[in-house]
Amino acid sequence: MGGINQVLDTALTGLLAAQEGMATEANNTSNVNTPGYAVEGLNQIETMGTAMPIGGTGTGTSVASIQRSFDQYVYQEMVQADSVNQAAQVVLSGTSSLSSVFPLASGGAGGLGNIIGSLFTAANTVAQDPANVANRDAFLSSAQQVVSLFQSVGSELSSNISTVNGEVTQSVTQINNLASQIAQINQDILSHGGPQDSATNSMIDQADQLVQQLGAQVGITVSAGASGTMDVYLANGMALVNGATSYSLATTSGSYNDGTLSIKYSPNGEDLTNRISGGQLGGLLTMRSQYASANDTVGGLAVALSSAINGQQALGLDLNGQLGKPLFSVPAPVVFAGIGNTGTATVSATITNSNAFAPGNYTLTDTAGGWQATNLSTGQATMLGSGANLSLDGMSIKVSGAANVGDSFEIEPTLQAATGIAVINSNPSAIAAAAPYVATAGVMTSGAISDSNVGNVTMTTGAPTTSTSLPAGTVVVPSTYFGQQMSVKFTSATTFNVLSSSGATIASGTYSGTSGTELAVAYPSPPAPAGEVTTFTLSAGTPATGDSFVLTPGGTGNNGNMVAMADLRTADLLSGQTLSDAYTTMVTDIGDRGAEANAAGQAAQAVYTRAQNNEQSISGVNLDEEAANLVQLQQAYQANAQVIGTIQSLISTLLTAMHG
Amino acid sequence: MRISTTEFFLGSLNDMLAQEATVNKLNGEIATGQTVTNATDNPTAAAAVLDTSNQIDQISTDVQNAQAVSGTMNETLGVLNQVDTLLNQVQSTALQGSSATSSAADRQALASSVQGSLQELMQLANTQLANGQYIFAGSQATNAPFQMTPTGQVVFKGDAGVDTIEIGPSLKVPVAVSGQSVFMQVPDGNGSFAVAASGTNTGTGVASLGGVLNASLIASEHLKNTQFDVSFTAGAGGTLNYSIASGTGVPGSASFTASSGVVASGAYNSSSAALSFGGMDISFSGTLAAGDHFMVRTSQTTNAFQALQDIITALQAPIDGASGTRAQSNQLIEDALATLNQVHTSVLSAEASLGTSLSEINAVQNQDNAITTTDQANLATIQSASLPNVMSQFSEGVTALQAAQAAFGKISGLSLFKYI
Repeated sequence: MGGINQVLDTALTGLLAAQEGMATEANNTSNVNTPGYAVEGLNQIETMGTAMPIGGTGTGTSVASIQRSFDQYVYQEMVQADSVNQAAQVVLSGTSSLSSVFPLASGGAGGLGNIIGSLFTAANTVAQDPANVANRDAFLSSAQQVVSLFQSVGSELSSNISTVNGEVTQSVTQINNLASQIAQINQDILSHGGPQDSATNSMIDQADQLVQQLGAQVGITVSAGASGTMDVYLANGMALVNGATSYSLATTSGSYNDGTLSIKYSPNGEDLTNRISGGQLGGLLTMRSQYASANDTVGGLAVALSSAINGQQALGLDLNGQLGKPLFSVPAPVVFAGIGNTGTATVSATITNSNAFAPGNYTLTDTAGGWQATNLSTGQATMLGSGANLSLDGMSIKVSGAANVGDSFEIEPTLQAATGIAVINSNPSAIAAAAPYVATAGVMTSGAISDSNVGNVTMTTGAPTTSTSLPAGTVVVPSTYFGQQMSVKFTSATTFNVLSSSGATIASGTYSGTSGTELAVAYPSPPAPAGEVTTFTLSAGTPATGDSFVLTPGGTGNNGNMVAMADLRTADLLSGQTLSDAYTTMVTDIGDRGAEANAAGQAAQAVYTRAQNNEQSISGVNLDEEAANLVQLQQAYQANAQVIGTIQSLISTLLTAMHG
Repeated sequence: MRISTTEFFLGSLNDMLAQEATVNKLNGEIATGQTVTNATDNPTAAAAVLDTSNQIDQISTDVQNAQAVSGTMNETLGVLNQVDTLLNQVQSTALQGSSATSSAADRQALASSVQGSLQELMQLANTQLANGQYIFAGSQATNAPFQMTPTGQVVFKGDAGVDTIEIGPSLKVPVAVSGQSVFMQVPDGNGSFAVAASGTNTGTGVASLGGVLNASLIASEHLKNTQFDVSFTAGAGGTLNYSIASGTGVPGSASFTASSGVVASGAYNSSSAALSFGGMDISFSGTLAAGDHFMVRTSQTTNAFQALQDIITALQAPIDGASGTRAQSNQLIEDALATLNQVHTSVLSAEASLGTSLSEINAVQNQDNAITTTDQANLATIQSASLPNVMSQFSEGVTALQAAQAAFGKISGLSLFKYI
């Protein structure tokens, strides 16, 4: 049985515990705004007293530990939710800045689609009055405007891409720093070795906070190790922190040295770029590919526009009577050789048919069975066979040198098209507005055409086409005579000759009076595509021998080619779509992704807020609670002090009694 | 549920931020008047905005085309109208000349008046637009298409090119008429065949071009370049017999070969019906004499200038010489008038084709305007902010934000520490 001093000791333990408690409350209160801090509480136990036969009392209280109020699962859920939310917010702000590259001003004015439309309007204006130089100038300045807009959109997208690459580097640096800090804390916790006390608690708090920061950078999973350490893994299972060891990521140029940063796992050099998800880094990588794909599509529009206009130019005559020269230039597809290539092969590519081409990138790998192309957007692989000349989705690919099996190349067909498109002809007379030939009934004598045809056959000019699509047996005048004045003369009711300007027979054909007959003159190639011809039709009817038609090059007042150029507005030019449809599709896709990102961002934010609330409801500091606890502890302290006071008065009563 | 103090503050802060974002977005809509400013706002609406504005733009291009070319076409039509008037004048002048009372001097004066008309026709045919382009030159629009050679022939230095332009979706109209077809491809005579009197005729008979009985027969004679020699011989009792031989070469000249022989013959009676042969029929006025020849052939291509020149030549032909000269001259006028009529037809058909294009332009333009109006209304519905709606949403947002701020003020004052 304890004496009165025992009571004093017991009261003292209460006093000390209350002090300790108040220190804990003070710590809680002072850390109310500290991120990662988990509210702490006393783990107070009763001290055992001397054993009594029946009953007995303890000898006071002691503080067994100071415990963090913490739930590992709730915490991990919050880290994950934060990670997802960070990625979603990066994508949300990224898609919104991407879609602002393609604004929809009132009535769609000023956008790329609208400006391309203006170019065709300007082409119509030239067609209204083809010899008018002011109209031609307006067409050229409209072309310049289109080019400037392509360039500014392209450079905006490339600057977005390079900003993202910078942010990727920063993010990876931060991930490495955080991982090594967590490993350091793990090390500290392990070497501390003691029971869980306030020193360990604050280390664990810091580690928790660092893990959350790491999760904000990249998607991770966390597992609590022994003695309060944290092991961190990337979402694909690769370890970032394992006990006291951290493993780093590195940004390197990819396997094609194409300027796109890849992310590698340093310990084994594995490329993780396509396997990282979540966190800022995951969001940044998503946005980088969206920007790149928008740049490719805009580049595709630039290529399609340029090749269509240049192609039409090559089929008409300019004000000087020459076949038109290209108006636009677009950088060729970019080909990057694999850094591990062992052969000497080099590869170049050209887009030959933009209508069969879908903007996107490819890899080309030499396999034992020939070249294999893989579309990087769809993943579809195609065997192209072997040889120096390959063709793929509207592109022709030229291989020179010798490749070894396993050598590969990355083809980015429209990487530089948007930023690099340019108007290369600023001379208004260079616009090829005129059709190559006009057919006029009669014969040409010293510059004048006199018509004394007896029969009722007429001759009209038709559209350019390829020689393979002509009816069998159609007379095609060789391209060497192209540009010369020619004539067609009936030699009987069913036969005709084509005569050169000097009167020499250069071709002969048969004529059908019931269905009429086509004939054609081949364009010189280049500039026109191989096999391209311009056509004429002799109408059905009855000709008399000697009936003639003169074919003269289209004059300055002719708008035949310009009308065809203006018609390109409604022609399918890119991946089976008109330019304006392709533009609309792209903008709508971007809008769809933006709307998705918006929904995903809101959802992720809500999930994170809920997870954070859950975590805070367990680990957060509530000042009212602290105040109440403080009052409670104060009262405990006062009560214990009162006990000591009472004992003291008991003792002094006793002493007074003894001394009498 | 236990709530941490941080969460308590953060929660109301987030509420305020969300309200501010809403108010900011609505404020933007009020400022721009648009609900859709980029595709993310509403991808479906964005697609509709782009498609609709593209259609509006395309139609407005077509409308511009139509307006631009209808100016030129109206100008062309004006020129053709002037040509019309000119031809009418020439016609009445020629008719005056063919009257029985006109003297050689009268005819000379009329001839010089037609000479003036010929100059005027040249000018009209070489009309330039304000931009210097020759209306009737085809694609060779920078050179005067109709030029007179030293021998008085008018030659065509243009071509048959006729520009077209789009005035509606996939709808193109020709914007000009070929100068060659208006002025240079005129069939002479009545358009099917022509008659000429022999210079040795002594009668006063003048052949008038009758109707076409069988167009395909004429066409086939045309291809064979057949010429007919209609000759009159004396019959019994002062009557006349006629005989029509067909062949090649110019009838009455040594080059004529009656390769097909006589195709019709019989007694000629001035009161009888017209003579019919080779799908044509001709009748005569005045009195024919034995030994008179008329040459008939299918029409050949001549030109408007030549038609006027023929009238001048006819008016200048002698009328006071041997018997039959006035009739011969009248025959020339008769033929030239028929040809002039063909010129007229050619001009009228050019006017008609321009008129058709113009009325098509009108019709399409009305349709274009209707489509544009609908499109613009659609665009406004899709893209424009409805101000009453947006304003009321804006006020709601502002009220909610104020409420959130007031709540924050209250919450921030709550602390147990105040009471201990």
